[in-house]
Amino acid sequence: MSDAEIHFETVDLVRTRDLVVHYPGRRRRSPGLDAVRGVSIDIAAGRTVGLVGESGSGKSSIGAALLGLVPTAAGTISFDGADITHADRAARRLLARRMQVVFQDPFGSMNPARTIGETVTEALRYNLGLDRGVVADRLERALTDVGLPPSAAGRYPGEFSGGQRQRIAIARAIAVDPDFIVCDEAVSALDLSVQAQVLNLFARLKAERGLSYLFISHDLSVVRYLSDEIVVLFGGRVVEQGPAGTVAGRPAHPYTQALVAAAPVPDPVEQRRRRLQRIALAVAGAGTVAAPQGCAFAPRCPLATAICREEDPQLAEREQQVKVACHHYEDARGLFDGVVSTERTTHTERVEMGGT
Amino acid sequence: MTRTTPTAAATPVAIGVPVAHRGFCRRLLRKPLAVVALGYLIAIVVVTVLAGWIAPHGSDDQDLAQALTGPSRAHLMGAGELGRDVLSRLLFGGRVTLLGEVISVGVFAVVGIPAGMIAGYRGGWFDRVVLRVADLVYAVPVVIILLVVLAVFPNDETIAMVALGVLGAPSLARVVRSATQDIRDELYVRAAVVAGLSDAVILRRHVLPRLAGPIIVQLSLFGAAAVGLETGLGFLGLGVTQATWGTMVAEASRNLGEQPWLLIPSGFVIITFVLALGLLGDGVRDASAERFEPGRPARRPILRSIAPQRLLQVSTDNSPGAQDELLSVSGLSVTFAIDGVDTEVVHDVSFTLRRGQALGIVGESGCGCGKSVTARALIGLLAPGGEVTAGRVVFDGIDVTAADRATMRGVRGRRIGLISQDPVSGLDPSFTVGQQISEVVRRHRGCSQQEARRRAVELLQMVSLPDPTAVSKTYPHQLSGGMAQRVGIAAALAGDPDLVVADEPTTALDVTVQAEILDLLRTLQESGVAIILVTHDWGVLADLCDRALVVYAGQIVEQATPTTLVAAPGHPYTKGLLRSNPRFGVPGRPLVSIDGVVPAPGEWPAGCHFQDRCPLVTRQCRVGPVPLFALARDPGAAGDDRGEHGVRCVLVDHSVSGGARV
Repeated sequence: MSDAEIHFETVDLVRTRDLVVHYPGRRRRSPGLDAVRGVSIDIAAGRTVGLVGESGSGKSSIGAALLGLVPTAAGTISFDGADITHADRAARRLLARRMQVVFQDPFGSMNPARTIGETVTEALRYNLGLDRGVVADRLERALTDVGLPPSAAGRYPGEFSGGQRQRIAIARAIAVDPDFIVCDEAVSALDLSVQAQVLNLFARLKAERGLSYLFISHDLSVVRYLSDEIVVLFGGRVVEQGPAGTVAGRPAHPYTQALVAAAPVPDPVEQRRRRLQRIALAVAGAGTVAAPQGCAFAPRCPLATAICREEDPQLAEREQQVKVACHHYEDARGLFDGVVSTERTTHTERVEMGGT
Repeated sequence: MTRTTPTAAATPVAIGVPVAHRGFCRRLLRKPLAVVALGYLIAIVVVTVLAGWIAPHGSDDQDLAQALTGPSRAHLMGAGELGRDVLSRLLFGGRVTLLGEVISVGVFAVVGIPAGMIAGYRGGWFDRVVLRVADLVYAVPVVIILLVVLAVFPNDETIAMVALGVLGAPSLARVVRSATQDIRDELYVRAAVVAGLSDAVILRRHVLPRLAGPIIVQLSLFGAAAVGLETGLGFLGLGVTQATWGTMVAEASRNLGEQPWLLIPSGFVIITFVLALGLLGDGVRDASAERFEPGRPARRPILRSIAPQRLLQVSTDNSPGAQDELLSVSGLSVTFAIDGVDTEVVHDVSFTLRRGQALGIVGESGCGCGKSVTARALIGLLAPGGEVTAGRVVFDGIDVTAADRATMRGVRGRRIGLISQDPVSGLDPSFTVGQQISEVVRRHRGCSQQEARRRAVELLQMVSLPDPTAVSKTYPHQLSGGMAQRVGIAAALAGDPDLVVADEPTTALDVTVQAEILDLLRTLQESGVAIILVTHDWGVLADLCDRALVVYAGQIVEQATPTTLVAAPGHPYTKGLLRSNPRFGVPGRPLVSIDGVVPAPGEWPAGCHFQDRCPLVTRQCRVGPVPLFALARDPGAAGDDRGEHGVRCVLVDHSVSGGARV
């Protein structure tokens, strides 16, 4: 394992360069849609990259492209140094042993007619072709690892709650002992208290197994908790990326700021203050049509000027490790100050005070 | 707290309780018609196979004296031409007919199923070839091809039945193809692809079992058609020359004038055989579909997935005046038939709501249907199996729980509007938004169509849609999530309601859009409409509500203003929920989480419902029902928003309240 660690330190495990994912239109003439428009992401071994954005931002398409579920229209994807952009079935079969997925929907992601044991060990039996005895061992270990009793193996998915099923989905992912897991909205369907359990499980597995995650979510607070780095997507492009604490705590791009400002906080007093400021800033919501050229966020941006509608801003390193794609980066800084600086500490203290 | 998943057993099933998974055979055996049909088919097969032993005469034994006679002791079903025994010929002839049946259905399945599965799963050129071949075969009359085949291989029924199977296969392939395309997009198939399974394994393990239903129906239909065709060939004299059911029909028709009885045995056998095939096919299809139901909670909305809460308990809201009070719920309990057992899902919930007040109901559930159950209880529309067993809901002087249908129609939709999580599913995809809203307006106001249209556009304008006239002409599927929810709100406002029940109205939306929808709801509230907001999101609650009820396992566990809940939560569950919010998580340190899962209705422990997950549990918690204790006046309540802080926990600080029960 020590060799591997040295290796991991130096090379990004997953790397995309100018990735483009295109969905063809249904009709012959229709131009289709570029869901992802030139995205470059590096995920180092043992690290977690969080991918945030609203629906339609292309975040799930990036995960699907990494997994080979949708074809890559342009750009490259490499895994552990090897180009896998157009990997064929045989190569994907081998990759499946190192790259796994946990989907959002804990109900749809399991065949209702197969037992938990069958579901979790499918890849072990049909991809790795392991012996029954080995499979049984790995099954028990995977279930125990995710906090389920081994007796769960004989049951059917219908007998489990959402949180338990998500544990099963995680067990299925870790059963092959992968290096990298794509978590596509993996906790979004769960109750808050169960969500916390599953997030803790992800964190523990990462620490214990040295896993890397691409953690895709619409919820910045979830992503911030688990990620080392955050990539913010809008309209299929990266608008901001950098260390998780900086991006979530001091967002630079107007969209990231709007995202942080729009997430309501549990404290009504604080929430009222944030709301008034947000309304004053008048960031238009989704539904406004993006211009064919220029910054995709321009129609909704309070700072948009002529240049924003004509020229697509390039992603550039603005401060240490933080890259932002905005023509008005200087003005954008602090746009939502006061709204964005969440009263994290004061609030936590209040809860602690009233806490058990 | 479901997010976008509309499914699901929220209230999780404890692992220790296995759901009864009846086998396929046992499910099939519960269908009487299918059992009778199966028995009949088995009997037919057995007697034809055993024809050599049980037939009273040989297939071609002649008894010229008895030629063309009806049933008699010597010939139980009469005798045909040359005095051949009808019963014996039916038995021997069945062998030929059934063999032909097996051959044609076998070829049909062996060719059609793989072709359809591969075409549907892989698509591409193979898919196009299958489709074109299917079109071609549809265009050519099967009988003509069969005649050609039989001209080349005279009286060779085996070849004819193989040809029939091949000719039928493209239609099966088409059905299988489209069913496969649906399954191909299932998440678990994608998961199998990611797991690196080969296509063959995926098709066998994940696709084929799901196709069983449509395939079985097709097989039984085709089997019936094959019997008909085989009979027809025999009738035309093109099949084999020996006895078959078909040649017997031919023989009977030749002698119809002389001995009409002859048609009855062969006709009866053919008709009942085809009928039994059809009935068995239906039964098998149903039984195989049931297999998947435990995994599809959406199809059994009332089972254990009901959110046990969402209704409220005791209000200590000292409303200033009775005329100000819009809705009063007292001691409401709701039961649902869960697996055939009436199970309480909402227990003894009371609260009052004043005009223009926004009340939030917050808690876990994980299940969309439970929320609508609650909303339905309030507007007197519980799903089948649900029943209000105790308590009263009084809306503006009308006892909803006792009101007749006509009264309720006047209240529902008109005085009380409902906003759901998924507004698009509530709209008919074949009518424009404007048509649908104006229809609601007309129903409530009885005005002219023109006026209703105008009002619909007005309503769309009220919900801040940028171009209301254009939106009114769009179809529901053309709307984005945020626009659809605005339309949903406009529809809810069509009757000028006094109360709007909003069931997770922003859960499926992006946060920036959510903020706008909440702004809209706030405007609504400021105009005097009362709002009941069902949510799992504390932020949404804080943004909109002046009062909150925290529910857990069918009970209100805490009620207070949102400010108080955050500043001084009283119930361990409230504290746990607030602290498990990842907002407050410190990366690298485990989040505070509540162990375990919400107990399912029917599995609530005696005493405090939260006891099994509570870090502070004492023996006292398990003794008996815990009342809602009133703490001192809610410190977070200001001005008109009076109301006390109630906590259903034996550990609340009694010194504050003197332990007074609410």
